[in-house]
Amino acid sequence: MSDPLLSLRDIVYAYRSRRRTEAVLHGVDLDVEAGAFVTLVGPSGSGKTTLLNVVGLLDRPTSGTHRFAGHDVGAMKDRERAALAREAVAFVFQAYHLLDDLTVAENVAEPLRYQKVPASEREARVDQVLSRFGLEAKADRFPAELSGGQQQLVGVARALAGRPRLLLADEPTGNLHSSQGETVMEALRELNEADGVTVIHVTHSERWADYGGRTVEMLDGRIVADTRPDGSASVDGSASVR
Amino acid sequence: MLLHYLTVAVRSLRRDGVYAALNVVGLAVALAACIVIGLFVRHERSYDRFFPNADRAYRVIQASADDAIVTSPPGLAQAMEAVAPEVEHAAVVGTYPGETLFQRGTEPVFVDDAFWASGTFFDVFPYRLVHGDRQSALDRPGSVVVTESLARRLFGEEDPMGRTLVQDASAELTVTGVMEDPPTNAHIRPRALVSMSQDRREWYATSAIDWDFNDGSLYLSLVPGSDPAGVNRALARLVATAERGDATSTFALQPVPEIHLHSTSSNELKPQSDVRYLVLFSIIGALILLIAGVNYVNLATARTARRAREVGVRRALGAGQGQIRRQFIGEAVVLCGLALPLAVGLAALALPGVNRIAGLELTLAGLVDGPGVVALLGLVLVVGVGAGLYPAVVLARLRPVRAIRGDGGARRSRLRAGLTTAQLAAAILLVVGTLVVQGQLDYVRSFRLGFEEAHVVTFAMPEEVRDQYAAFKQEALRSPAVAAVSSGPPMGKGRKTMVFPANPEEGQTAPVTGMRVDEGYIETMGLTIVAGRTFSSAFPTDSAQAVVITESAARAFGIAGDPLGEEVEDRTVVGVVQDVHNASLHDAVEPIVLVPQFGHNWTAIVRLRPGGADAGLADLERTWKAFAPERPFVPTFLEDDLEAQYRSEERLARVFGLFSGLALSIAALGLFGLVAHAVQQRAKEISVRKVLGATTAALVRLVSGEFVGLAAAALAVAVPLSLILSRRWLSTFAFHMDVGAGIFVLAAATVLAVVLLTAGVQAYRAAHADPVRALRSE
Repeated sequence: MSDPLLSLRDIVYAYRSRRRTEAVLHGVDLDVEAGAFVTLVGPSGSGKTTLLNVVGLLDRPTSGTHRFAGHDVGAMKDRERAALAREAVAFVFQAYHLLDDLTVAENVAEPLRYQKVPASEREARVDQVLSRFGLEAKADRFPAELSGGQQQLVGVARALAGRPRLLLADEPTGNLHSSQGETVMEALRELNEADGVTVIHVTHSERWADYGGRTVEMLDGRIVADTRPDGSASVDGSASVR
Repeated sequence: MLLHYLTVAVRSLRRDGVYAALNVVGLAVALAACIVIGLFVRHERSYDRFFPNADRAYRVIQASADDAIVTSPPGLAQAMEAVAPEVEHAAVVGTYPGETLFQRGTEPVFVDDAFWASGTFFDVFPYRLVHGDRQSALDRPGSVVVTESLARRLFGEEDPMGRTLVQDASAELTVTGVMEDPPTNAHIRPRALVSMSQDRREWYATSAIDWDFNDGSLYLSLVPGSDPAGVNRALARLVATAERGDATSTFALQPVPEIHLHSTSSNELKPQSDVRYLVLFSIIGALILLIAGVNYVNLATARTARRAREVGVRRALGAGQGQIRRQFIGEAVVLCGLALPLAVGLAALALPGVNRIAGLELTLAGLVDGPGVVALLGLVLVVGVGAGLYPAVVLARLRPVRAIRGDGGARRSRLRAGLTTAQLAAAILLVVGTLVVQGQLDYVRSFRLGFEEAHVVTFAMPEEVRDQYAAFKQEALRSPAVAAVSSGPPMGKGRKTMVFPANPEEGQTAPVTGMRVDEGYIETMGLTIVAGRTFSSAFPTDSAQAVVITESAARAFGIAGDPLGEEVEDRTVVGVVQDVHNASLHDAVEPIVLVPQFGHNWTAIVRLRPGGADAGLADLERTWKAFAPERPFVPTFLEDDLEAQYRSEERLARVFGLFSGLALSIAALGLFGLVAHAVQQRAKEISVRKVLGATTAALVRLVSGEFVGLAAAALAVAVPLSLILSRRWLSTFAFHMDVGAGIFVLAAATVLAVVLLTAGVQAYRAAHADPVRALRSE
């Protein structure tokens, strides 16, 4: 078997305050193969979002080994990490985080600008992604004019436009009605299956927990369960936690 | 990408209209001030550069140990032409003391800018002649070249060429040319050029240089490409080989374009400006720009929290720090760009007023040529980048994970505190400047000049009136509103009839000004007699033999002990009056001799009774009409004329007042933003304290305390600095006020009031907000 897309070994993440150090991640090991759909569950404060930020290259862990797409991320310079993140990682946020001053089409185009995709290709890709999510008619609207579900679809479209290898979704349905949530989750599944984008999806809710094939459960900064689609599971095993 | 940033910037600003408006207005006002100052500086720096030979035109300066003068000995021009091959043309130019009277027939016209000049004048100053031949117009004695505007004033639509003018009621002149009006940026702006008189020609024609005298100013136009150092060496050789007694002065060239701003001479033909004023105004402009720039930084950092989420999202979308920085710097430049048209509009609105105040003819034309446009765009770029840099760096440095949660990071900033201190210090400097300049003006106005300038009107008398002066005087005195009538040069305007040069052999230690005055002059001008008596026709010998002198004239003549009865200039001293400030207070007191000339003077002086101005003027006009029915009666109040001497100080006071007002209001805008920022950041703390029972006063103190502290720091910086600068400016007056603590107390109070108002109001509002809401939003 080839190397996994993402490989974390003994990842520790700690906040240092004046007096003491408080760890949020206590040595996390995780391998994610290309094309997987992983659901990360666990109660508030269990470290899901922090783990996602580390995986998404927004944050550096305090210690541990982080390999992504064949790179030893820990050894990379900031600039190289930023370039890697720009090309290979995309986020979908719970609060959508669309840029209020940009239209739907401009929001979707923004990552492509940062990737320095030429204008003609940018337009073609934006049109393509928007029509895929049925958002063509909204292209010139501003986010405030859309419903929450529509905004999150724009969020997914924006994530997809940059053609990421890894899509990180932090409670994408958290602010949505269940029917809107369904649409968004279907969109994520389709991305995973049709486009082969690897997805890591964080949720609080049982309802969306079994959307992907694999479920990873966290508690107090540790992975306590990892259920694979083939039914195999490593629960609180010595392999995951030191 | 640029266009994209621009669109985003414009949308973002539109959404936050108040913030954008505060900034755009502040920047526009500051930019407008800079535009006006820039136009002024450009005008001042352009003096005499319009001459095609400006780069090789020079004036000869004569320097001695303690002074530099612009006049040279007669004969030097010819000598220079003989010994310095670099000299292409040499011209001698001189002024007439005071105003020059020209009469066409009997109509008197007083001209301030009349000069006498050698026939080579137009070789060195290549003005265009509308009529006449520039080579020969000033060749013969008794010729005069007038400007187009003076020609119109003297002759209307008639052809002026060949007509006769009488100069100072003595010399007949023939108009031999009409020249274009000199532009405003010439160091001398002749309105009439009189050819050299026969006497002067004979004096100048003697082959040797007359080292004992200084007469006109010597201007040289050098051969293109020649080195002025060669001319300086030739001058030095001339001086070294000359037999000139114990004179030690040296001669050197001064480029003509440098005269206006770099003159150090005590006897300039016309008053010049000083490059220090340019520096001062440039500093004022920079201070105002600084204040507006600090505003931008403060208001932008106040918004950091609101922009943080956007920055976080953009970072997550793949934006690098550089891209974030460029975006926010771009936004600042866009804001400045938006302010620019507004600034140009404001400048256009302000220019007529500024021109009136400053006696200039500035136009926006200086903005639309190449250098103007480059300067404007450069200004926008520099201010935009300068103001946008700090907020952009702060925003780009935010950690994306925290920023995405809307966490704006840095709580306090030393830089921000420093900038605000600098801003307030700049405002204090300008306020102190205003108070000092205004204070000196008040001092000057209330200064005891040695005569009573109030209620005195003066007017020039035409021939009809002069011929019947005694009758006119008698008739005028019949008005109950008229207290006294006399004639002669009015005091305080620097006029003089003659000068008695210092004559150490005869015991006269300083030059003394002589004035010919009518009977009653001393009473009419309100001079104070300290010994002896005034002139009177009751003493038949007075008109031929008497003089009255001032106290300092007594000292100058070496007869201070008991001057009465002493001989001065072949006359007997019959009275001594207190010293009089005949020129402005920039100058020391000049010794004066009053020589009686009963009747027949050019200028009538009438003292009106207090409260009788309207009636007195009406009566005088009636009297005037009886003697000169066809002439308009144009009296001026002496007080107004004296005010005019301090016009540049008055301008300075107004400019300072205007700019310090602008600076304070822009600073107040910025403080408003800063306090808003502080209140926003401390909302929770304020609420908790309130819940714990803090009083409103305590909360207001809590929030404003920081800003009062900054104001105190600003005072500590600005007070010593402004004290030094004020003293330096005041030292340009021979008589000046003392800078007291009052001025600083007033400046401090003004700035503190602004700080407390802006900070206090918002602090009060925050203290009265519902604490529960603030706590819940955490």
